[in-house]
Amino acid sequence: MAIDMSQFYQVFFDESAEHLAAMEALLLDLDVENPDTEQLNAIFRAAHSIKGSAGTFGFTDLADTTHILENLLDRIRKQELELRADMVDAFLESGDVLREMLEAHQGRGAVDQAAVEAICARLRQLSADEAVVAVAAPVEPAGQARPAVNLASKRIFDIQFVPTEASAKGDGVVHLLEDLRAFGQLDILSQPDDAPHGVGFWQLRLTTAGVESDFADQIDFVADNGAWRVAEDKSAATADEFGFFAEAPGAPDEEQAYGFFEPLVERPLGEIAAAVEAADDDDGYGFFEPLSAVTPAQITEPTALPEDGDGYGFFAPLSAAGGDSIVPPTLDEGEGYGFFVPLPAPVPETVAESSEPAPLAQLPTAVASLAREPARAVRSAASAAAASDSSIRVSIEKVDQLINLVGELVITQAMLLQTSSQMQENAPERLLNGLAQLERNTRDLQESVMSIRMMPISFVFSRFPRVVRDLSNKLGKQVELKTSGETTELDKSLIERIADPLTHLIRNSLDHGIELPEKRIAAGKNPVGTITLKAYHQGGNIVIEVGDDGAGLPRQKILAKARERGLQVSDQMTDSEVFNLIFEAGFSTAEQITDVSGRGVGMDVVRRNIQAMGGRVEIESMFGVGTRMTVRLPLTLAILDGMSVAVGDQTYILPLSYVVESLQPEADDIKTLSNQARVMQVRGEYLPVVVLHEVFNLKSGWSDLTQGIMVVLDADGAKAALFVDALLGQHQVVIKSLEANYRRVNGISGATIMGDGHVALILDVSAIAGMAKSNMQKAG
Amino acid sequence: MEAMTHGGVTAGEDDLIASEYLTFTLGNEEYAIDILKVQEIRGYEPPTLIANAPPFIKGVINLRGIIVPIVDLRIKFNLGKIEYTPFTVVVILNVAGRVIGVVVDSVSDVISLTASQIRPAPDFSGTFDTKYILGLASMDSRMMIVTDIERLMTSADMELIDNASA
Repeated sequence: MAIDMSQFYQVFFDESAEHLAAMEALLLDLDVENPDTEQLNAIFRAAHSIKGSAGTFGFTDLADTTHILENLLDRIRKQELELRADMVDAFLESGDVLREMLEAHQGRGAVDQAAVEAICARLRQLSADEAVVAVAAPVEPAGQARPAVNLASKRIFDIQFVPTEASAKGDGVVHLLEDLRAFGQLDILSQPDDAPHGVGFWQLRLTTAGVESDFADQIDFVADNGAWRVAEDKSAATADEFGFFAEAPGAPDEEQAYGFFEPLVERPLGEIAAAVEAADDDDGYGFFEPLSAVTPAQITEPTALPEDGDGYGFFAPLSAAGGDSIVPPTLDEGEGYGFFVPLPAPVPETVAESSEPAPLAQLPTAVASLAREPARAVRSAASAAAASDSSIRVSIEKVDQLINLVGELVITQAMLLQTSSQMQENAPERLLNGLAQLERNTRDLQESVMSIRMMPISFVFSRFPRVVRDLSNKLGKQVELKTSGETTELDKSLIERIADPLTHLIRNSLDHGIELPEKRIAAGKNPVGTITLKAYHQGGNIVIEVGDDGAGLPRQKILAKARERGLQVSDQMTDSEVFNLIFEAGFSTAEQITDVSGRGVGMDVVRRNIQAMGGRVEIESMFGVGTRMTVRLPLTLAILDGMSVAVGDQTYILPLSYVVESLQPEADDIKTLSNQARVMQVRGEYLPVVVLHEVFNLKSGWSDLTQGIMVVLDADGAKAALFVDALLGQHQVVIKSLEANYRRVNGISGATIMGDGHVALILDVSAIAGMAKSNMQKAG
Repeated sequence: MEAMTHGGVTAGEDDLIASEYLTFTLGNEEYAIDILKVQEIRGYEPPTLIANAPPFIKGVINLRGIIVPIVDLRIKFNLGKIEYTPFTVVVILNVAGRVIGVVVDSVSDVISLTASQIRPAPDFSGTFDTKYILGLASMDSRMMIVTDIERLMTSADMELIDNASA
């Protein structure tokens, strides 16, 4: 009775992609010399989650590769192995391979099997290296001790779990049982009535030479959100253990140390810290479980639990004495339960391991070192829990539908308001009050709904550390990326579309801007170049700056290149005009074409993409000091601040961001060129005049240009004066596509619905400024 | 049905399957279009002009938040008196994934026609190209021009769509 898993695939793809992104971010953030355990754990968890769900969904290639990755990560986080820079590289690469696999499963692209095998081999190799190191290193006795105990004795584990519905209905449980049988002798103590495909309580007994961590993960995949426990049955194995531990020479392994403190949870801070750290260190999953999932039997599983009274008394003298006595593993179910209640959630793996007693001499030190980090561990756990609880995944269509509906509501509300204002005194006061209330509420509602689509720009920024890292390695440059304003929010559709242009700008800064270290030293600069990425709000725009402290743009070289390409340039051009030349198609000053840049495609595409989003790019640069590219974007594509203007009986919307000023012209201000094109003098500047009613073949209410209004527009540096009959007002308008049911119209960028329900067209300022230019050229 | 016996054609099985058509008048002519292409029928309201559009494209209206272009077929085909009264009707069509409004003189009724009732139209030249005509049907001495409205609306002639096929 297989259920159709494919309906969940998209969720899996989304989640895995997120996990990969998170993993990459953490890896890049990782300090190789001194890795933060918390980060290592987070990386491990990400890999672990991908493996888990990949296994559940039957993407075995993903699961296999992640498994190898996870093994290595696991060893590092358990400090069996030391983190090295080449490992981080390998991790990043395997992340790429995994992403490729994900894409392939989604039907995009194919997996390069050779690459997969290469990375698997590399990870295995790294893992093997470490094993040698670990065994050889005298500081890691735990690494030795555990295998030794495993070989020495067969251990019995009691395993209890409740499978998830999906894994029960699929083959998850069947596979798990097979896997467990591979470890040793498996007895099924109890199982659900409709096994193996029923969702119910399983109780197994496994006799194996292995350790719990060998199979705990498998159980975790199958079990419902942490509803599983593994406990070692000490009664069978105690004798062996004692024998072993009497001889055990080394320092205690961390986990062994925790075992002692867990029962004492209600007491000193150091112990709580240890317990928290233990829970977190071992496995993040257990941490967020609701306590209710823990049954008394499961809690009491740690066999090393001392008795209540003994426990407290036991600790105090021990730390003082620092003796090397060995704690006898005794079991007291009732007491153990009482102890465990205050714990956020016990983690079975740790607990089971805690049954291995350790020399107590080391304990105080262990506690002290752990006590330093408790607050942080707790805080990060709490924030992780909050983040997962406070967001939901909703399809964009639903949000867009909501936005459309709210847009309708706003229009209806405006219509009602207009009607009521026409009724004047006839309208009852209560109706007017109600309408005023409705207006406020709809405005709030619209704002909230619009904010759903807004996302922090960190979604884009987060990919750049990797880009910079890879590219600077490739180019042999030393570059530091500084970002600020990651929380600046902008519309989701813009987020998606800004990523490519920004990547291009950053690659450009890296390739052309930042110099090689030798050159930088020669120029008296820090050999490490800096690229700054900054986002902030300014007016109704979001501004994204990409700056570098590199060589700056070579004005003379650009001019020379432009002449070579037959562009019309002169030495009198301002810097900004010269720099804007690099946005011309096919323009590149790079002497050498690299695979990074230099082909001259790119900057023109960047500008075109940004303009298509209603934004613009500006360049500031100083030779030898650096370059700054500033991208200005509207906050959203869905809403626009507009000025409504009247031409004849029609209303048009002008995007406010393009409007510089508006003025009533004097007859003397307007001159003609060749008796065709008109220009107007505004503050000493001659601007081409576009008469809207002539361009659109409408009837103006005025016979003379001095009766109407001239609106001065600035579209990416191209200025023009637009003649309209009158200015009507300023609105926030919801942009509607004209092309959805009609076609593109020259001079019109879209449509909107006004308060009275009528359609108003939004003017395409760039196109209108272009019309002015072509008029001038005809005349000139 | 009357038309079937009148036609004297042996009715095949396909012919018995009747489709419903909406009929409307343009001047003195009666047209029939597939009713499944019709979204709704509404009164005429003055649309917003589109600059430099051909005269038969009256402009765009707000149809519950969607911007819908309005085509006056009477102007396009030079039929009837061009006047806009409270009784002027706009047929909102749903063709090729687009919503388009069509101004007609009046909507008559909904009729069922089987394939055999639709006879091929003779070739003729005029503003209305025969390639948009599926055939002619007659009923109660009325002749109806059965029109492939989707093909007509998406054609380059109508100038409604960028890169429309001819």
